[in-house]
Amino acid sequence: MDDSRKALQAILDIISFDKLLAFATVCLFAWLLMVIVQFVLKQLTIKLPKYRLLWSRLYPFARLFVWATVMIYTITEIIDPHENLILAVIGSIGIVLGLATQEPAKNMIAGLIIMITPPYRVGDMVTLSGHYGEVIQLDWSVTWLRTFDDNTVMVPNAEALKTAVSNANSGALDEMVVVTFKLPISVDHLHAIQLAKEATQCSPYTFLDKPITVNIATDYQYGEHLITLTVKAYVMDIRLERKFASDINFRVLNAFKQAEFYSVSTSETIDAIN
Amino acid sequence: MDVQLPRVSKAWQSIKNLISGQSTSSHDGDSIEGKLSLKEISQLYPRDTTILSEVEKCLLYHPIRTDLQPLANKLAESAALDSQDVQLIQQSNQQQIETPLQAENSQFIGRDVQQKKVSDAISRWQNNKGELTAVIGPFGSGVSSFLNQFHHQYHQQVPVTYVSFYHAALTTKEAIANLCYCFNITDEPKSITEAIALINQQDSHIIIIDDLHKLMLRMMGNYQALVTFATVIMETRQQHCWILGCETYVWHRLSSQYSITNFVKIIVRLEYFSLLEFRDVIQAKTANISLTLTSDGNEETEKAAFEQLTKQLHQVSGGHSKLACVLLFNALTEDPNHPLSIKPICTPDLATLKQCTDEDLFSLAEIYVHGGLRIFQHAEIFATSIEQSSLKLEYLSRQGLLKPHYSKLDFAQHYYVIPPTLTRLIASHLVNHNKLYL
Repeated sequence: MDDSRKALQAILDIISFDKLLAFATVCLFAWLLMVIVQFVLKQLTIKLPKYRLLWSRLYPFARLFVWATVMIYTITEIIDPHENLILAVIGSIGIVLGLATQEPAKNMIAGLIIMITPPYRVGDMVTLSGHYGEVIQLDWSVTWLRTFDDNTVMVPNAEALKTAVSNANSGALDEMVVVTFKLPISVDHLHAIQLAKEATQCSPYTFLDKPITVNIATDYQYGEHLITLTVKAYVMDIRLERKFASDINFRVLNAFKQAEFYSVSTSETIDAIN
Repeated sequence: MDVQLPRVSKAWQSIKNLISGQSTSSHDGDSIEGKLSLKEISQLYPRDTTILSEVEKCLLYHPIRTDLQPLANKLAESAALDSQDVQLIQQSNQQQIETPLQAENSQFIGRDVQQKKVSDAISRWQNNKGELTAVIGPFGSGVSSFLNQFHHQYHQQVPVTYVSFYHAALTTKEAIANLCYCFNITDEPKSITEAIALINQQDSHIIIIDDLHKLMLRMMGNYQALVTFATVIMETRQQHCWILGCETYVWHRLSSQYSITNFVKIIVRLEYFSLLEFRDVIQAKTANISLTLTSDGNEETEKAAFEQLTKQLHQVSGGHSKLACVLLFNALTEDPNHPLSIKPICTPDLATLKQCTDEDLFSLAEIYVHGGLRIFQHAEIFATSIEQSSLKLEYLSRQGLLKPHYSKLDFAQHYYVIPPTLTRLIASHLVNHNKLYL
């Protein structure tokens, strides 16, 4: 009976007004600190957008660190419970929460793994669960993506770890973009390669520090032999990926039409280009 | 990560202003007290109107050499340009601009190590071990002035030609024609092999090609033209001494795309002036305007005040002497009845640049690396209509970020350049925003 009474008294001590107030104060400070960190990182992103991926990656770590510190501080300094009580509470709560929140707990652990050994980071262009987009936020339990259609997609972290992840830029601002063109087999393929390469070079969004490659292959479709040209070039900023792909298409098509690679009448188009 | 805290932002701005000792109260629409808007800076130099003040002449336009025939006109006369180009250049010449310092000019300051490197390269060429030499530096660091020093130094020993092309070649033929102009060859060769043979038959020359960036244009055909250009100068380097002057970011682009660093053996880099060089520059500029910084007449105090002023100017301008001179001129108060006095130096206000959209910054980046673009070229590079390009460039020009040179014949030929005083500020902003890279 004495032990039970002591345990009850210990629990009552934990939920005393003073301790609750101290806990609330610590949480408030932590929240304020996180707001300041967020604000400073945002200012840095505005000031130095070249390093925006770095600034956005710092936030999840800062949050993890701050809240872990809050938890440790609260348990060791504010609550300071008897070790038997810790074991009893952890055991009881663990069983209940484990059963009730199996999926969220799984996601949170997956989130922790993603933060420690990241298959992707904030700012990367990834394919997660069939959705392609930029990682805009990395929470404990979910990852937020922004697709090119401006949709925000939430992917549970456990799901992200379960399936293969395709990462297009792996932490860099530039990213490879691949555009394919089909040409009739009769065209001068050497000239076509030169035109495709130069037209890609002319795009103001091309990251010229990395090579532009044009690969050639043949294909047979609709009873016709075709040349397939694959242009591989790097865009200066991952956010311009679609714009860049469209720009390459526009320029290379213009060049091919001017060279009269397509058999259709193109006089109007050439006039428009000129 | 998307926190919107207007009050915190305002408080943060106030703290920053408090720390830097600036007030946020504005005295006109364009500028904040203690700051000078980019538009005002670009309007101060080069001036479209007649310069009346001697102080302005000494600080910003000295030395203006009337005996100097603008090279652009020479090239235009030699039929390198069409009538529209001639008009454009004549218009640009009507603006008062400071010419690069001439050879053996006593005002040339510093760059001893770099001068020795180029002299050594010329000596090696004279000993039949010729290699290509490039002098690279950011806009406003004095590459043209530096190259001019070698013009007079060597012209009595060997023929020296100093050229700055205004036309980027878009075909092999144009590239060969450009090179033939350097030797006054009128019968243009038919092929690259003929061109190399013909140029190798000419008497030995030192050819200084300044503003190499003007030969690079992001348009179809330029790639092949540049390859031809590079091949010809590479194959004739034993017979002629080729010295190329190029902007740093353009050089980086050329290195990435054409591996130009594999062919150019001697690369001489210029940077903006160091504090010591900068002090000499300001001293030379202010020597004739009898500027007195202190009232007690003590030489030591005056010297200390001057040191302080140069340090402040260097910090604000980052060693870009033209920007520093404009800021200094803006701080001077001229009154015929009183000695020349000086107000606190204003810092450039980058608000206009910060308001630019990504598309504006891309336009500025391309204009920067090309050293200037015409409307039709901008339209071609950005795959937009000429009208849209015209509106975009005019908007940027009204913000003070571009200097226009209008053509009377065709609006598509209007030419826009980054104002010479703003090159460093704009380049650094573009680098931070990932639009220029090194």
